[in-house]
Amino acid sequence: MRKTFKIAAAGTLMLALASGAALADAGVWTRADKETGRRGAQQGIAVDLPGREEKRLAAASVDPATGRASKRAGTAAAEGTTGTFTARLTADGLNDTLTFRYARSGGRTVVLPSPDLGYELHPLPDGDALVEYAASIYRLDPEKRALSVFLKAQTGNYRKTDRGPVSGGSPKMIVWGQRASLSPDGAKLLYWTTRGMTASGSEDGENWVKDLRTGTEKKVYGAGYTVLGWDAKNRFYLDLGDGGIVQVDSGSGASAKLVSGYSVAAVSESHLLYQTSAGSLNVRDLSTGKSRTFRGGGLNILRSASASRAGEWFAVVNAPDRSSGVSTLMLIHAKTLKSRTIKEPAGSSIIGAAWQDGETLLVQSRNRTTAAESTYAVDMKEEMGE
Amino acid sequence: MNRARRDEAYCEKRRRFAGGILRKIGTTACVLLALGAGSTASSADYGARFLQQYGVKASIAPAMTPARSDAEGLFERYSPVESKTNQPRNVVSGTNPHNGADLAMASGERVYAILPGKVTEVKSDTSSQLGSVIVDHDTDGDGAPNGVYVQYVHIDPAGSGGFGIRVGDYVTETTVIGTVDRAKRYNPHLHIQQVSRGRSGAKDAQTMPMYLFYRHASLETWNAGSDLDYVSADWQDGNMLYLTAYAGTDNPRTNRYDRNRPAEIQLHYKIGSSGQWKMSPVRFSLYDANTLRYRIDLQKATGARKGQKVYAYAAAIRAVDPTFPNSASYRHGLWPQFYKQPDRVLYASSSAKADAASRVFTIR
Repeated sequence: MRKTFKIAAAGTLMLALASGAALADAGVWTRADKETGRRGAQQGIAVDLPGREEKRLAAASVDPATGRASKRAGTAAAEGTTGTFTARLTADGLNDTLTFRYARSGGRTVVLPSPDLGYELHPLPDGDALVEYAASIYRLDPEKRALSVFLKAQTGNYRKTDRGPVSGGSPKMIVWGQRASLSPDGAKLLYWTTRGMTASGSEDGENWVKDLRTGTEKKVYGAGYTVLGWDAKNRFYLDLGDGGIVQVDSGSGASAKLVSGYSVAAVSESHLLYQTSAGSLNVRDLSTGKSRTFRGGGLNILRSASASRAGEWFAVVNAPDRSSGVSTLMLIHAKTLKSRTIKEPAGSSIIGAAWQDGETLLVQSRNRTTAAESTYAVDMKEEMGE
Repeated sequence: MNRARRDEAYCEKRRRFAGGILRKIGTTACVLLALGAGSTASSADYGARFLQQYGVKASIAPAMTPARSDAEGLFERYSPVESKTNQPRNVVSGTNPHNGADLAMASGERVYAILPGKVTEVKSDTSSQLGSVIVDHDTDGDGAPNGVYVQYVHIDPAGSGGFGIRVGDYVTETTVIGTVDRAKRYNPHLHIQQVSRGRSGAKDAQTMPMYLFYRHASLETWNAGSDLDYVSADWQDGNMLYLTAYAGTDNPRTNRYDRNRPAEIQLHYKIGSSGQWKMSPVRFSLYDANTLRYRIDLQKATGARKGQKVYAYAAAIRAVDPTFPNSASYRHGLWPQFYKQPDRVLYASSSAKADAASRVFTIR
């Protein structure tokens, strides 16, 4: 009987190792700080995101007669008090009042990302923020609570007042600036625009860069969007879906295709991680251009990937069985490819993962029975000894 | 599994779902499905009829937006709505009224699953921007799909033909299922559509409203989901019937996205099952200008007496705007929703269509 048990136990262990399951890693979740709900981070500031429960409460609060909701599924600062203020935007023919959420941090007013308020927001190093609104980008001074024009009203032959070519009896809408992304040194701002439509007729858009020191704006790359991130040399990386991943120098516009075809990918200031086939992934050193292949740890198909900004670690959500809702979390060191595979919290699914900073990984999860959502803050020093 | 059995299984699943309020929502959803199933049974004459879901309080599930603003896919982005489900349009090609909602997204922008779920169809022919993915969504988060299908259209499915998404894959809300295709036939955008089947070629596939995924959305974003449906969120209080109705469109003159009130909302009705269909001289009136909520007193509008049954449907006539000229030939969206250019006057030749389309109210 005992022998049978030992054989069974050994078999289980071998199977577990073969499948990459990490037998001892359940402790990660008990060691990590656990918060109720979904939490993300923007530039190191933890933000509570509206999750299932907040959305349910907002939906249930809708007055059936007026259609108005008394509760909002919005963001909040994870620590401290969340306040709001308004600022007027009187430019480009607009006369709108926008509401902003903020928290006080280090004596400054830090504006919080609030997609439910109808705009996208990008903090700048000087404390200001950029606001994507009405197909353009504006600057917000949170201390003065003032909004102002940010993008030039004319670049080359393109004017902001131009209207698109006529199609089907009416002109087409032009996006002057959207989907902004700031370089790590804060000197360059990448944005997407369809202003070229007036000349080319193409609605696919272009990638432009504004030099925040000189104010100049120019096109640096053609169509294609989804900015994976930037490296330390102010090059940005575009995920073009089946078109692969391109590296673009934000100064010269020189580009190079680093990955062909579709991949699941993440980029940090120093490394690019990408998967183009099941069971393996590649990590490319962006300084040297050298790539290495990683296998093992039960790696199969990536559901998502996230890079810590400085680039030391990648966190990937792996599907050991692509048809199953069960995932594993894998932590991979960018330089050494040292890895660790962690099972999901008991009874829960991993929704996603993102870095609060180089040392803290936020892992969002959902209980499969109650649907309650939680966020675990994994301390990388504690877990990986780094 | 046939629809009735699937709905039954879904309802049973919802009944087992813990939590008092959630249970109520689940029960409401079951009622909605039951009503929807009734609509299906009566829709044999109109193969592509919308499958209506009723209610203002219910939510299928609190979905995430298909666009995100961060590379990890955790921060939602509420893309402006260029055109709504069931919205009459002025188009040379394409469905009219619109059989889904168009979200303004950039060419190449990632498209995420709005809820977890299992992929049931991948169409990778993007020669005419008709690549698409259908996901059977897991609405209660237990790891199993619930027969709630959403189709993501005008996308380049992730990894067409090679490594990437496949039928049978389980996806999470942070899984990229494709990218918005480049302009070929249309401007780049995501067309998102709730469908009744996991295969787009199914003969009995129907389009369903989207707003029940986004009842939580704010007035500044998608107006409790109503930005996604031309007519939505019906509610009855006594004899008062409430609807939200407006067109959503880009405005090339101002470079803004507009919510445009309908020119009018008509009530078509008959009293009693053997009554004669007619249009009421009374129109829906605007009740809340912010949410674009309209209402009508069914007793005053029809003259029916207490206890009488009123069969009714509404027609919201789209007003002229920069993308919808006076010359547009098709101008109305119906509630309960229809698809494939139904007549505004459903009883012009016979009362059968109107009978099938209408809802029945008992005057109080």
